[in-house]
Amino acid sequence: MDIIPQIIINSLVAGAIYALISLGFNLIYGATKFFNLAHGIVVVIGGYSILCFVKFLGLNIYLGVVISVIISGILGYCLDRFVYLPLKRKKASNMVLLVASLGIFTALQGIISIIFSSQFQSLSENSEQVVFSFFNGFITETQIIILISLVLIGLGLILLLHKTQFGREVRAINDDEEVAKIIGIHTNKIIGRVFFIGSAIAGYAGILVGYDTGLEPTMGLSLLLKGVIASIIGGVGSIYGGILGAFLLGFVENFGILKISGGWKDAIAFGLLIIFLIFRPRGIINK
Amino acid sequence: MKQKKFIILAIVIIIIVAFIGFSFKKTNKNYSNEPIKIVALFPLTGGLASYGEPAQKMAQIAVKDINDAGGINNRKLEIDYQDHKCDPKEATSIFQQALDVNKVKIFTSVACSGTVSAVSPLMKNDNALLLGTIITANKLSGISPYVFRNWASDKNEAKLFADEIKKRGYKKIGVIYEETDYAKGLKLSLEEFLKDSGIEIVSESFVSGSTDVRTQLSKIKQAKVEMLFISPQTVTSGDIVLKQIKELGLNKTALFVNDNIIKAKDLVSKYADVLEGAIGGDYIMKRDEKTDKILAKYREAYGVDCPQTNICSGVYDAINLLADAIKSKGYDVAGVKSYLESVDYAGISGQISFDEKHDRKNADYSLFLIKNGKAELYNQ
Repeated sequence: MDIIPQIIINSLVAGAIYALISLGFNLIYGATKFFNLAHGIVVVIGGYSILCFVKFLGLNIYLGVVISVIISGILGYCLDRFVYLPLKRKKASNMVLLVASLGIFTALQGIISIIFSSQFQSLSENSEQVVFSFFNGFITETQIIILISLVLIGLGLILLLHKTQFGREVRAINDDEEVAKIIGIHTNKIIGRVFFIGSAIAGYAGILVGYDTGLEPTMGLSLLLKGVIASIIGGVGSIYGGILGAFLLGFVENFGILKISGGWKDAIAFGLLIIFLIFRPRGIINK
Repeated sequence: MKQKKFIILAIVIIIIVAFIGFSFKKTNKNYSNEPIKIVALFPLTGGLASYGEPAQKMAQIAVKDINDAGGINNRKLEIDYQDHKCDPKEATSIFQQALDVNKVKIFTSVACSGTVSAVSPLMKNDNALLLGTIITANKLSGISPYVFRNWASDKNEAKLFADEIKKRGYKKIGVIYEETDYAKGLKLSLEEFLKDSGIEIVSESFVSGSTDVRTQLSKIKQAKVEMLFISPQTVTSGDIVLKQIKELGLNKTALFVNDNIIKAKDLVSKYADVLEGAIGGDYIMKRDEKTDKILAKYREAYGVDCPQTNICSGVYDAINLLADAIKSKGYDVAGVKSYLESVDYAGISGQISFDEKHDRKNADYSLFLIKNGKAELYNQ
């Protein structure tokens, strides 16, 4: 079928975006064991930062990307430092942290709407996109960058977690934070850094989404949900699981609507989540 | 003991008297010189803010004109602008609050058929009435005895599309639509008009908020349709669909677009290459000296021309119609309803009267052709 290469490309691109979001989400979940819903708004802030620096202030795009990624990372670090850490010191439960992260999500979304308006914003000035033909399918330059970025960030993260002292400390916290403390790991400092890295990846994902489709203050929730679904079906807290889950979700979503209307796309995604929650609640990679 | 009972009885009497006095004062408020309030449900943010913003500005001019001319029976008219964000849930919540808490009975609205469809069941037993502008879905015809629309049903637009499709001799067409009352309604009307024509229709949909419709478009491309009809609910989703049409090389297919795209001048110029030769439909209102005079007030007040002259004219007339109705029948739903049912009003958008389903009479759509990033009337 002529359509198959195009659907594969669509699935890969969708999967790569979900994977970038779930990478950061899983990294943070692994260290903190709570669902950081504010992760969704960090994605949005990454996108709006690039809009501000590149489109409004006319900064060089590469410099704009670096600054936006750093801003997203700092935001994540500050959230941990000034919201989650004080709550954890007060022995707040994970439910309290989740509610706090939801509050942050909603508040920051409102602030973005006030500053930039609720209007859809396109990062590209005109409708021009460099498009490549690939086995009868089409892929844009931005989508190729999304795929390459995922490979590089994924590999970088795996190397960071497995080949460095920092990575070993993160994995120790993932296994048991209390034991990590006992053996002398400064857990709060490491978790702060994890928030910085996870949020920087989320911000970068927001930039890519902005260039691929466009920006809206409300886009964070749907992206976060897809990232969370990918994490759950892949194995929450697992980097490999997140990537696997994201691509599974991308493929099921796109191939699922091959014979039925596209309006069912989200229903298929959540249906997949429910199936996993019932039959394999700990995901593909049973961590 | 007796004294205690007496004190309690006295307190109860005082409370009852105070309550009656307060209620009396409150009732009297209706006859005071307090402003008459109308709630305007406009899309001030979101994908159709480009309609809501000029609508609000024009409504402010209408209110100023009415109040400068003495108001409504010596009372000022006041509009409470509320943002429905093109979201039926939001519209329902605002409507309920205005109805129950603020005791507002008269409403006006702009755009998003789904919002009117959601609030219409809340209007019953003469508790509220709504006069909408640019609400087009066919299903709104006669949806409630208390809903009037100063606009035409987009069934007329679908009819024009169907005739043009038949004339061009297409055998297989594609439709991509958003799952909303308006956007899906157009697709359903088009299907109805093409029912016995033998033309095959390949339909694909997406839910509001979707940012990826590539697989749906790929399926349409695979079906090798001769024409693709694009029916988004908002300018935002129109932007996403057009961008992805271009990415997938579907722009070589003949395109038909709904009135939301035709009205979105920025979008038409941004995707000039994709939309070159595309056919669209829209409802055009009459424009004469009277219209120009009011539109000049907009320019004077805001320093720019109204970007949506149809909407500006329609909203100006809707506010004036409601003001005239209240002036004539009082702030009473049954009275305003009977006034609108029999009105023959000379507005800036033309002569306004309503048919038995409360749609604006003699409101005809026209076809447009997009050429060099601009929509112009299509002379078939």
